[in-house]
Amino acid sequence: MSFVFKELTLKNWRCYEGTITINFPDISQGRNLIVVNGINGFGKTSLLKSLKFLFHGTSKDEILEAWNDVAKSHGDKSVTVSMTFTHNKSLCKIIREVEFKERGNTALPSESLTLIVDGVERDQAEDKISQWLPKDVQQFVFFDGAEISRYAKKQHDQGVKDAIERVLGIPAIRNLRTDLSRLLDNLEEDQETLVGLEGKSATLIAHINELEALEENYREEKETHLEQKSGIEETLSDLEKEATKIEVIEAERKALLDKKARQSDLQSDLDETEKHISEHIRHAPLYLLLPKLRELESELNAKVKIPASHEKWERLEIVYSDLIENGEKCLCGRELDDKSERHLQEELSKVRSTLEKLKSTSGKGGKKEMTNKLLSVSQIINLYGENQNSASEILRKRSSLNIRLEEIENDISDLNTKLEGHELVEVQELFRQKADLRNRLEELQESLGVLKENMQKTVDNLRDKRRELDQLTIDNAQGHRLVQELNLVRSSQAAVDGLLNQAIEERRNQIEKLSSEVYISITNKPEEYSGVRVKEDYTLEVIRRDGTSVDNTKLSSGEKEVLAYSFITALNRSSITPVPFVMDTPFGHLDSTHREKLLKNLPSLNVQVFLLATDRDLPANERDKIDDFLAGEFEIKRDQAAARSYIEEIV
Amino acid sequence: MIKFAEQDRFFISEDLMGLADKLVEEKTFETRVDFLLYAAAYAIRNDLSPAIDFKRHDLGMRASSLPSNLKISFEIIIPKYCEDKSISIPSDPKGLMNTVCCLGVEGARKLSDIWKSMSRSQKLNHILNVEKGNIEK
Repeated sequence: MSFVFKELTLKNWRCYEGTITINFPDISQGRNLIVVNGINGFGKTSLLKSLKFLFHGTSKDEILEAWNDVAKSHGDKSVTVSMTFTHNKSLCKIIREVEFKERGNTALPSESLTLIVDGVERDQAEDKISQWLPKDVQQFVFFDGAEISRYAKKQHDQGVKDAIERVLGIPAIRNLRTDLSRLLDNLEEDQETLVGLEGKSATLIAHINELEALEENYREEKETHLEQKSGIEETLSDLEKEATKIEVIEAERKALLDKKARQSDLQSDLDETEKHISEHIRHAPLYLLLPKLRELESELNAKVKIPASHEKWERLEIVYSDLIENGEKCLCGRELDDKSERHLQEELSKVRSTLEKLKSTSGKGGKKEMTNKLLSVSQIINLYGENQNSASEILRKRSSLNIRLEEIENDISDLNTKLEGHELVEVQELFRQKADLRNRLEELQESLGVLKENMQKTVDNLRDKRRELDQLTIDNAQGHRLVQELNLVRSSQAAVDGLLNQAIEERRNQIEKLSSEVYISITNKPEEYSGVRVKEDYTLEVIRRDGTSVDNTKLSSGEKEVLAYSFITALNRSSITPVPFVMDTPFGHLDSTHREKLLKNLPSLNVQVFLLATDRDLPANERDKIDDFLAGEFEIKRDQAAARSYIEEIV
Repeated sequence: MIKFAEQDRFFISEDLMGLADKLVEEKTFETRVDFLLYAAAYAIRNDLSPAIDFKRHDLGMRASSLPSNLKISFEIIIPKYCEDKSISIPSDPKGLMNTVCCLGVEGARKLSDIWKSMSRSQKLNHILNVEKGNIEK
């Protein structure tokens, strides 16, 4: 570990009155977490601010604000923050002290900074500290967890970009390149002096100057082209995203048309079914009358069978009449006496009376009418009795059609809402813009190709001319030495150029790889996302499994925090001088799943990690889970009567 | 058998005109006479007696407009129904028309109570279920 904090001392710093000293425990392999518990208002942020002050100072107003009120009232006129730490195996101590001198009614702060390395006080403490921990880098190591998501911005300003490159050690290579250029310029000036500005050498020098100017023009033009290209590519990428959305919208528009056609079919079906229902309703009385009709059918059936008995009476009439009118003998052969004849006459009267009655109710005309009625009733029963069940079919069909129509109406309504504000004209305009940009991009690429060729020609030409000049210079020993130096610097510069590009690319790839690993290990959507892309300006994008990127504005606050955390930890792990991590309220927007995964990830950082946590950041059950990685634990307490905070180690 | 006279016209009670119009307007029935005849059949099915003493409103439709099966059914059933209920059996076409319409008014009054809070769809379901015998009233 590059930096390890050992001891922090605060004197009259904000809410900490008097002098308090915190000795941080030794950290061993795998135990790098130091938790400082404290409820809101007790002094966690004051601790964070003390570190920022210690390394980089602060404004006059802020230092006046940082002067503890009680100390001020007691006339104690100094504020001190000091830290003992090891840096690359040296024992170091930084002491930043402010003395307040009274001038009239105001107190004027006078700040001093002391740096002691291995017991020896060093000069230029500010510069030395800045080399170890540049001020711009501070934001990546001492930060408020609740504001961490700001690192997931769509654009970084130049300061952030520079700070990131500083963490990665890139400025050192850039500085080397600048130094080499400066050296080369000096050597070339010496060469010009040596060869003199006359004759062939003067022409050559003039030519070289022209070629250098031309090369510079080409370089600038190339930069402009590359910037334009990058802008167009970004716009195209945005348009591609928009086009993807529009493709979805177009699919939805087609789905809407299909749904509308289906709705029309279903409505026709429903109208047809309603017609059937109306028809059924028109005949509803008949269905209601069916039981009565069935009763009547039974009765009529019974009545229509009467003719059999009817014939019996007719036959009796004939028999009795024959006996009375023609026969003098009985059926049994005996002769009829008067009494028997009178009896027969009486019976005949009865039979005739019955027959009369029968004829009056069911004579030949009544029988015909009853038969007709029976036929009609049977026909109606046959016709409507069979259809009776179709009502339930129709009802079922209507109900099912209504449900399907309702579903399809909902779908149509949803689709209409989605399609609101997406006019067909927009789509055409978008594709036109895309085509225009592609054309422009092609033109730029072509132009860049030409530029590259011209540049190469110019560079080759320059090299030849310089060789020629070198030949003129090499005439004497001084010239010979100068040319050797020139060649050495030129080749070094070319090597540094290559190294710079390679270093930037390697560092970015490394951060991208580490960020992706951390992000995937923490995100709640590891199956949806494949990692993080770190762009040229170090802005971040979450990448889906299908290779498309997620718009950062669409990420939730928790997701942004995870993205930023992934980047910051990757940056810290890639840093040439890793610095302890201090997070105030570390889990601002994170849910319990994210929090648990992030806690598991913290021990993998090869630096001390200070968590300034409230009980909400680190509930007891989650605190227990990090027990194996805990190097030490402190609690900020407050003596409210004395209005002072103090820190105790939890043993 | 007493038959309907083709020129005789159906009537309903004045108090039911609003309901009849509403049912036609919401397309539960195609005509007010369809409603009246359904109500008459409903009265027979539920063994109701014909309504009496109401102010008649001529529905303007003649017996000739009735579907023949429905016409025959009423012509056959009404005398028997009256005989079974011991009420005056129609002796001429006007009497038959009178009985059918008075039964219709009585049935319609019962249905008016049952249908008062029903939507069209619910009324249709009720009609189709009553005829199947699933609902008695």
